[in-house]
Amino acid sequence: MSGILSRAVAETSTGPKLRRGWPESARVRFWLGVRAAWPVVTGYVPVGLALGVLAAQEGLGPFATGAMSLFVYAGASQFIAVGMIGAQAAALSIVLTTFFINLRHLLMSAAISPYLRGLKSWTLAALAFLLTDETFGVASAEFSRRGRGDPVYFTGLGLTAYGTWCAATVIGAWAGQGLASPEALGLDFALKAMFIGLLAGQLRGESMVRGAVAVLAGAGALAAAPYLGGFSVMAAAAAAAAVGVVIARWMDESS
Amino acid sequence: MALVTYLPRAIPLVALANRPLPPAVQRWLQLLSPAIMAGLVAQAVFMPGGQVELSGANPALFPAAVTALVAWRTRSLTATVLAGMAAAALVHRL
Repeated sequence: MSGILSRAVAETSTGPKLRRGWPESARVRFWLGVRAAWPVVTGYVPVGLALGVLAAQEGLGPFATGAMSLFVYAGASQFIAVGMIGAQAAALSIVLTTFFINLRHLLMSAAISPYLRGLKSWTLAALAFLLTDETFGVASAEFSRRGRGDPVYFTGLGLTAYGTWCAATVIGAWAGQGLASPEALGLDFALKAMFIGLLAGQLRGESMVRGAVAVLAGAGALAAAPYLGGFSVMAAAAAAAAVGVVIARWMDESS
Repeated sequence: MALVTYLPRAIPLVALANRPLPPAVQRWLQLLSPAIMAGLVAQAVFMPGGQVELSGANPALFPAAVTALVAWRTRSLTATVLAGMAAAALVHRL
């Protein structure tokens, strides 16, 4: 196993620009995915602990929190659900709110689909469970760099992230009763910091068009939030990407 | 909650992966990734309490600036998350 791991390490350390395509060995690809999960793991540990602590303060124990992470596995939605449980919201309203927040994954799922051509539907359906904002951020950057996607890599990445998330939230819920103020440790900012890091990874070394689309989408999401609520990120991203397509086509023609 | 989380992740992937798409649509899908992340970041940073807050009273601005700087310079998501948390903890303390 250590041989495979060291091959995965060597593969990673040759630098992203030099490598296109994927290694033949499935085990090497799986371990590449596990290794690529490292930044997600270091993000999920504090964020998961923070969620567990907040859940504990709303009366959800380690068992209930763990069950929620196992079945729902959606950081942002779980944060909001815990808050709504604390505010004693109706179950239907919690489910609907979660649904609107999760709609952004429609677009992520669509965005990653061209990289995973030729797979059986049930394989895609299984992979989809492991698709989160963070695994999407890491995987889509890697897939675009290598020219195509890989289900084994994504499984290694996704399972590592999933296991970390479940463990961290349970530990957080178990330890949460004793912790007075999660903010004092910066736990409330962990999820935001992870989003920022993922965005930087998406923009680095890329074209001006990508940067322009990001600025447009960010401004649009702020402008649309009061009117569209949970749809605002989705609507702004779809519109900004469409503008990007037009700009890119215009640049192609003029060059 | 599990169902409404899973279905949006699964349906487009299963439906689109084995269909040839026109180049403009493919380009649109590629640009969607940074666009979605940018939208999430913008709302996380500039709408900490659910409303747009651009003044210095926004407690997320300083940690976000530190986080972005570290993300850009180090290329390490680990360092980025830790720096962001440290900056947020500092703001909370002051």
